[in-house]
Amino acid sequence: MKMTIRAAFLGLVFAVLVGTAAHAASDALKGMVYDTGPLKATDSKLKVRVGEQAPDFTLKSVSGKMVSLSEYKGKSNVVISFIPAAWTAVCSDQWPGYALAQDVFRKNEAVVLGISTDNVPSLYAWTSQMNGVWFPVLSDFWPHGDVARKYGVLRSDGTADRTILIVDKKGRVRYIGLHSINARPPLEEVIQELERIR
Amino acid sequence: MIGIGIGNSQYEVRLFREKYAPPFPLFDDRSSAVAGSLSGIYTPHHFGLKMEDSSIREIFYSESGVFPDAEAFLEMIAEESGIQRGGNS
Repeated sequence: MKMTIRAAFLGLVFAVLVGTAAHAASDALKGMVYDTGPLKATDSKLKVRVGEQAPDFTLKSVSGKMVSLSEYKGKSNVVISFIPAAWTAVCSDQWPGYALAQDVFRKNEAVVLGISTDNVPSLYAWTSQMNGVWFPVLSDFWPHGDVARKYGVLRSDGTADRTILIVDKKGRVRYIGLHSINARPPLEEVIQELERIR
Repeated sequence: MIGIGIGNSQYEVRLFREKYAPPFPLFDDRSSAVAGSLSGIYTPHHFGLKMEDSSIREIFYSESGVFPDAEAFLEMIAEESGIQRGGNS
């Protein structure tokens, strides 16, 4: 019986894994994702450089807790992930994808801080719909985009450019990846950089 | 059954394989070559394809969403595809 089905299924089904580029957010978000269409790839000018001390910040997380970058000093490497906007396709693919690598981040003594210029209720609803994410999600809504501006990743429309920074335990910026707003950065890029630091 | 990670790199698919050990082959598709012709796809998405030689003769099933019961899913696919379970076809 099983053999019959297996033979007939040759090349049969494809089950998609983590999701994707512009058109494959999780089914949990079906009908809820806003299609921005292609946007200007980047629209900001970095104000931080590799080797410098990372500007400290304190932002409210979706859990209601205030989170500061400086609280990780001497304890963990920090991956700061700025994303442009909740409820959009690429962003809805990027953060859930980090779930796959949670153990790898831990092995590399790194935490992730996700930052968006959306307000807390919007980020709460969005991440809840994605069944939550394992790292703190911080709102840079007010003063609007203040942290994104400090880092030089605030776009002219008030969203943040898709940027990944790695800050080491001494608080120094060790890596900056300014990515196109239209595509999800591959996971291995940040993992390789973390392994290099370790 | 095969699995394709749309938009996923080789590294990401390897990580997935190590973590979940699915009992079928997985392929990466970083450039979304497969999904390129499919707009508005949500994941996971399952296709049932009837093959003839190396070409797709018919797409008999195409739905997005997680299925809670693997056995029930296989039963349904068997029915949709016209396969008689336990038969010789």
